[in-house]
Parts: sequence; structure tokens; C-alpha cells
Amino acid sequence: MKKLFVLLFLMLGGLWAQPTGQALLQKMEDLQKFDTDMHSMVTLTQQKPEQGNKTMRMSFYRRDSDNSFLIHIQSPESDRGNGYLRVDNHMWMYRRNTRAFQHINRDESIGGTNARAHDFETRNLVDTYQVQKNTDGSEKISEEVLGKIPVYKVHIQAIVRDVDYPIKIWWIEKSSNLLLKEEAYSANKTLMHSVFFTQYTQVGKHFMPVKQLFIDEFEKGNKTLMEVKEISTKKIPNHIFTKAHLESLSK
Amino acid sequence: MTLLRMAFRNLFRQKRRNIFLGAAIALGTAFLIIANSFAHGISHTLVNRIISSVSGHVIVNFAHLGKPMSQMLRGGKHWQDSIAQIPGVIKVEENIGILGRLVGNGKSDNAALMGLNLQGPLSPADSAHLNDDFHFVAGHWSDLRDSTVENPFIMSAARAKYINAQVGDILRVRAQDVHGTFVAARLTLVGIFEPSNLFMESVTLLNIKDIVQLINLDPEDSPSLNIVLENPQKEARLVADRIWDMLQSPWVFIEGAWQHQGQSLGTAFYSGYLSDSSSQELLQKRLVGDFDWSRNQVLISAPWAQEHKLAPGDTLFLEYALRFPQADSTEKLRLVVGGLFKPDSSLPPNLILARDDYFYPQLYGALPQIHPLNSVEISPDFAQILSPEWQITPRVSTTEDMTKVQKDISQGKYQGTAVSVNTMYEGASAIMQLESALQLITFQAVILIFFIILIGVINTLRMTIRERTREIGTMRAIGMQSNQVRKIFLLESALLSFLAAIAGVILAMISMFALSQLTIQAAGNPLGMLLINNHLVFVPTLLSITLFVILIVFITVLTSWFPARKAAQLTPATALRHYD
Repeated sequence: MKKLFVLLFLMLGGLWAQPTGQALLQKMEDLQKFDTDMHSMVTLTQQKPEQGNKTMRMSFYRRDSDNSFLIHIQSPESDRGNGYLRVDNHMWMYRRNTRAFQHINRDESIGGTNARAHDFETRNLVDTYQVQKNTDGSEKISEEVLGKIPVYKVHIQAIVRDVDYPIKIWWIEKSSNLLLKEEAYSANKTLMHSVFFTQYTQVGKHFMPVKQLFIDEFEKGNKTLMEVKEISTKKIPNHIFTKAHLESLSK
Repeated sequence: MTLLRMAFRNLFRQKRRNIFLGAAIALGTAFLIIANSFAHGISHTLVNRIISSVSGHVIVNFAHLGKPMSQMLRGGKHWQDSIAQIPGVIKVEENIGILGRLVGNGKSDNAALMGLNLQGPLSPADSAHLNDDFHFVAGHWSDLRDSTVENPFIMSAARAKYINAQVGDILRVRAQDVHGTFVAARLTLVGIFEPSNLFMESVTLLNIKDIVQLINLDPEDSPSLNIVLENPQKEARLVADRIWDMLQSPWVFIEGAWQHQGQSLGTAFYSGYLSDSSSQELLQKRLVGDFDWSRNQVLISAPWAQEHKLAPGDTLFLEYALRFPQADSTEKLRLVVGGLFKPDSSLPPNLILARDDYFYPQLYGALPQIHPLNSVEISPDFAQILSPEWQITPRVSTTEDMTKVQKDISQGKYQGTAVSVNTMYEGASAIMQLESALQLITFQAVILIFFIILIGVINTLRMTIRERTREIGTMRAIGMQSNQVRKIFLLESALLSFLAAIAGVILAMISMFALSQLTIQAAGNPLGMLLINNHLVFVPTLLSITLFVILIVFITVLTSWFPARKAAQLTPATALRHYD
């Protein structure tokens, strides 16, 4: 009987134990990685103290299987018709006024906002980051309450050098494994930005953040709200991810 | 000699007429010299003062992973010593410049952060150059050496005013390091200057040792290099060619211990293949079975796969020794087999290949030890396919070609570190062309002026001959030969034009001195880039002045030839019969 209690205690203990960092990252990645094509309308509202508000609305086509995406800007009028296209490892910016494509790198800003071209790429999370370790060798994962939501607070660090931020802290909802808040730090541990993932939507087996608030912690007062609407997972024809299509959209 | 004396004396016989004519020639000469010196001054300012002081006479540029803003060659520090040994090279300077966002007091601004090399004592010439370039309103460039303040920096008065910063203020900067990662730092403003030219206005300068730390440059890595030469005009292209030859890259093979499912597979070599379509076509012919080119998976040699019973889908682990060991002495990589290929006899049978955009980040993430296989001779087929450690771009001779290479880099043609070697003349060939165009326009305008002046010369000589026809008759009657008559008129013209041209040179010198003393306020005006310390720059050269004087004398003598010949052809009787 005593042995049975011990066994039961161990089993329950196993159930309530914290997940390992690697498993947590893998779960998060699996939840957010799409195995279907996706189309949505994205609205970026940027607030800068010196420049006021700027709202940008764009149509976004994404196919994770071959890392392709196409962005077509619909407003404001000054940027309408401009766009971005990624095929294989190449990324182009299209300008309606000049009707010209310019090859760009992943660091290019989208329409002059804080969003950058590589924010729209998918990247293998477990190959890029790992959970930091405490001095005793245990993983830096703790349990907290964010607002009223029980979360894991996870300290992660980059395992490759070409990432925007080498250190991040994530608040991950315990019940769903969804990321609710992120703080990104520079190598010398200066807080650079915070992101609040305030709303998700379920698409098939996967989850997609549909409302994200980016707060620039370095240049105080700069904020960007990203809202995703009209999500469709219908298969996108190949011709969408072509220069000709992006050009035709602006006519 | 007698003829020369006579010609000289004749010039003073019609003083007023010759003074007017001489003044016209002198003015034309002065205009020609001033315009030429100004055009030369523009290129001198842009090329020798700005381009050479910003980028040296020869520039070795690195674009890490093909990214133009990541200017670094991994493990390339030792090249600095090798380049410094080349005859004619005075110094090799590290060129570090990054873009960042500077947050001031209630205002922020984009900033071009550049490193100023203040390691060791500066030569008097370098100090003088810095004093010339920056006129400090507060602080001094030497304050950048102050190790008691955090990251000291200097900036122009206009920029400091924009972000409401004063000397002593601590500002924050956000930038990206050489790997593309965001970095943040606190900078202390130690100096505010009035720039000597427009280009310096936007520059924010830090001590190079501080900026090296800010951009996380490892000690064994090299940023782009500026090379200063003893005699740039003569040696720049030769030295650039020599550096280009020196920087031809070896192949890169990572030798390490491989494992599959916990079983050792012994040692094997890992390298990259170029991802362009022609390389893929060549490699396609050697494939055994199918391979998905778009996935981040590796190709393994078929004999090695057969030996160890490996197949597509298998996961391999590679462990290899590092070239620059720090905390770890080895690096571990995880690779997934995507397909098999047949290597030829010039390659090791145990070879694993990955697409270059997948291979290079792994290679530069942890450089392997240099292996003797890196320098073996490889069959032409595979020599076209395999990745070198870095990729050197072709040498170019014009700015246009250089822009084309830069465009190739920004369009992702190079997945490894693209290495370019250029001289400032290639980089500034457009400026040289601008100088030539300016000189051509000036020359045409001056030729037009001279055409008008020469009509005056012809007219004056015709009048002179007409007035002195009886005198010519007398001289011919007492024994002077016709060619002596011709010579005397030609000598008169030559003397007049020579003296007038010399007067023109003196006038040009005085005018240029006076113009260069004028202070022109050109803040925010593109004209400002042609000024140094708000003054116009004229660079007269002895060679061009000498050539102009010879040209003017030659044209005048040539024009005088026909009236002089007419005078010489007069017979004594005809000349003596002449009455006005």
C-alpha cells in the first residue's frame, strides 16, 4: 500500500513538473508553425512622439513550406501599391512610383515602420534559441502570474550570432503554451523592446497571434500595434509569389 | 639678338595699342588659369581631402555573409600585417562605420558612428590633419582618449543642437553589431566641432577601441581596411592588384569526427557548394537519386554513405576543432542528409556538402582549423562548385563597375564574405570625369575668348604693318632679308603674348588668393562640399600654367604668321612707294 502511494505521488509529481526548456520551445514552435498556406490582412499602427500616428494596411500572403511571402501595401496613399516579395533566399522591394524591384536584405524596414522584412519569415526556434541555465545548471524557468494568467517565465538566449536580440524573456501561458509577453535585450542586457501578444486565433491545429503591441523600450514613446484579420488558409496559387503578380496588384 | 632688341623696342612704339591688346591676353590667361585651378581644386577637395581621409588610398572592403553593412572578415586580422609589409604602404587603418539611433535630450536622430584611430602617438601630420578637419567649439578630439568617461564621442555643432546635447551629456545609442544583433550603449559627449566640410557634419566619432567593443568585433576578425600609400598616384593600382592577388581565398574543408545514432563514422570533410544555378546544374549530373535543393539538408558522397549505410533522412553530428578556441575548443553541428553524390578523384571520398547560404553561417559561427586539403588542386568541375573561405570580387577600373559589384553584393550574389579591393581613383572616377568635363567646358570658353582676342592681334598687326610699310622698305633697301622682316614681326607678337601671359599668371594668382580669402557660409548647401573651412579651394599646378603660357604664345605667333609673311613679301621698291 505504501509502495502504491509512493508510485502515485511520483506519477502526480511527474504530471505537475515543469516542462523542459527544449520541450517548451518545441511546443511553441509547433503551435505557431503553419503547414498550410495563409492569407490575411495586416494593419500596423505606429505611434511616434515626434511624428504622430501612421497606419499601414497590407495584404499578406505566406507559405511556410518554401519560406515564400508577399506583402502588398494598400494604405496609406503615399505607400499604396508598394510591396515586398520573398522567394527562396531572395527578397525584393517593389516601388509603384518607379515600377522597379530592388533586391533588399532581411534587415530592411517595411514601409518605414519598425517592422523589418525578416519579421515576416519563419525561423526554426529550437535551432536559434535555448533556455538559459542557472548557476546550478537548472534551466531558468519559473512560474508567475501575468495579470491573472498563470505563466512560465522563461529566460532564453541565442545559440547563433545573427539574431536581432541575443537575450529574451518570455511569459508563456501554462495552459496553452502560447507566448503572451516578450522582453528583448541587447547583449549588454539593455531592455530594447517589449511585445504583448494580446489576442490569438486558432487556425486548424495551430494558433496565430492576431493582436500584438510592440513597445520600443529604448526610444520611449514609440509603439506599434499589429492586427491581423481576414485569415484564410486556402492554398495560394504559385503565381502569387511572383514579381509579375506584385506588379499587377499596383495597376 | 639684334632682331630681338628691335622687336622689343617696336613694342614700345605703340604703347597704348599694345597695352590694350596685352591686357586682353592677360585677362584671358588669368581666366583660363583660375577656371582650371578651381576645377582641379574640386577634385583635390573631394579626392585627396575627403575620400582619401575617409577611406585611404586603397580600400579593402568586407561584406560578411554578403551583407554590405556587416563589414568584417572572420579570422582576417593577420592580413593587416601582411598588407603592411607591401612596399609603398605607409599604414593600414581599420575602417569601422555603423549606422545607429542616438537618443538625446528629448530628441533622437540617426547617426553615422565612425571610429577614429587614436592608438599610440599620432604623427604631427595626422594631428594637423585632424585640427584642420575639426574646429572645436567645445572639447577636443584628444578627449576621445579619456578613459575616465564612458564611451567618449564627438559630434558636429549642428547635430548636437538638433538633439539638445552639450559636452558632458550622456546619450544612448542603438545600433547593430557586425552580426546584425541590436546593441545598446551609453556615450559621453566630449567634443562639439564645426566641420571643415559638409561630409563631416553628419559624422559621430568614437575612439576606435570603443567602437570595436560596441560592434562585438572579435580580436581575430578584421573590419574593412583603409590603406595609406607613400605615392598614391603611382602606386595605388599596383598595391591594390597585389593585395587582390594576396587575398585569393583557399577552399575550405572542415575536418571532424562524425556520428550517427551514437555510432562513430570516423573522420570526414564538410564543405559548401555555390547556390547559383550553374553550380547546381553541374552537381545535378553527379547526384545519385533525388535531392530537394531548397531544403537545408546536406549531400554526402555515395561511397561514404555506402560504407556506413547512410541514407537520406539520417541525422549526422559533426564535432571539429576550432581555429580560435575560446570557452570551447570544439564545435558541434547537427546535419540532416538530403541526398547522395559521386565525388571525383580530386576530392576526398568522405565528403559532405551543404548549400553555401546554409554552410557559411555555420563556418563563420565557429571557424575550423586550417586543413592542408584547403590548398589541394581540385578538378575544374568541382573548382567551380566548391565554396572558398571568402569570395573575392573582380578588380574594377571605374566607379560604374564598382557600383555594379556593390549591386551584386547587395543582391545576394555572394553568400560568404565578399572581399573587394579598390583604389580611391576607381572609387572616385566619377569625380575625375567631373573635373575633366569642367576643364573641357572651361577650355572651350577660353578658346572662344582667345579667338576674339586673336582677331584683335591680327588687326593690330595689319595696322602696324600698314603704318610701317615705308620703314620695312627702308630696312629692306639697306640689306635686311625678307625672312628677317617676318621674324621681327613674329618676335614682336611672341614677346607681347609672353609678357601678357606672365601678367595674366600674376593676375590669376592674386585673384585666386583674394577669392580663397572670402568666407562663404554654405551650411546646408550642397556647394559646401566644395569648400574647406568655408573657403573656396584653388589648386594651380606648375605644369598646367606652363602649358597654358606655351599654348597662348604658340597661338598668337601662329596667328601673326600670315600678316608677318605679307610684310616680308613686300619688295623694297613697293614698300618705299607706299603712302597712307
